[in-house]
Amino acid sequence: MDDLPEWAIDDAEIAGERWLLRRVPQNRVQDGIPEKSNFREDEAGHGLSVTVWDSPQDLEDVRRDHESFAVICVPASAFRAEIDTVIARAPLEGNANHCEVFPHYGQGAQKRLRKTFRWVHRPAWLPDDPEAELFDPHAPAVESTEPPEASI
Amino acid sequence: MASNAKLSEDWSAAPEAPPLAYLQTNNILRSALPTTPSRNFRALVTEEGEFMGVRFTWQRVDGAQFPQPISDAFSQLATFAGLPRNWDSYGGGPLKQSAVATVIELIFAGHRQCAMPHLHPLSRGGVALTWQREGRELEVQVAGDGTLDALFDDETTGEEIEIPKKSTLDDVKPLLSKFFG
Repeated sequence: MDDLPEWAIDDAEIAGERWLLRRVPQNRVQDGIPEKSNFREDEAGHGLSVTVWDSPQDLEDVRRDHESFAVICVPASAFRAEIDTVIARAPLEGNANHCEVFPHYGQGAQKRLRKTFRWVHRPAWLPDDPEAELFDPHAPAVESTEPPEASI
Repeated sequence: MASNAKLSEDWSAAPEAPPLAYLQTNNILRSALPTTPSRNFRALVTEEGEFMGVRFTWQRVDGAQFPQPISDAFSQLATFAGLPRNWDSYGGGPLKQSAVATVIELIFAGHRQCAMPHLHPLSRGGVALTWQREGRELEVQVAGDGTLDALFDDETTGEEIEIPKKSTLDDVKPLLSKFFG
């Protein structure tokens, strides 16, 4: 892989149903859907910035100083499904679970990644969409309000 | 800094022509896209335009005005050129001059087909252009360095064709022909 810097060591534990957060600016949403270019990075030596969503603190870190942005998440498995993916930890001050994902994806991969996205934060500038539920893997499970079935 | 790129565009506002179907030829993409033959006996005046250092010429035919959709697209590009540093919160920058000539060529190409693209900025000074028509979508992403990649997607047939990053306009022409043909 020609765009992988030496510092970028894959963390194989970031996989499966661990979710990765990414901010989305208003000018990269069309008809209420994030553009696939939200998964594009071109800068040599840098991968696509994401933050592993291991706790509510991670979402706070992603939103800090960027409150006007939408936030989406994508499962690590979607990145791992792409050839030669490296998810390298690149902690930032105030964003300890920040990672960079390599290689630089083309549009086919960008489209496949977008298919798996879930909304995490929807700012007021997004159009109302009753079907766009917010996703939070750390939310406590909601107990059923249905009465238990009577046993005979 | 002025670019060496020079685009040429001729059009006329024929009263009987359908709306926006009056762009005649483009010297650069002539081989890729179908064109409408010019009518004879028209008052032609060659004019020049310039946008972000890219010069282009066109034939004003019978006093036709510069097409409003193209003016609107230029306004959008000007907005992209004015984006502040870190506009996307990931270190994004404004539109780069090195991408502009290619973007304008694609906008002209789409306009001749009565199909203005949706535009949005890419993080490193590029622009994405998306056309949608009858279940098909073509997105061309022009990187800040002027190279391109593209994805043609036909929902009805499931056909998907990808042109990889660092490609040229010549590489993308077949997809333009396929989408507009």
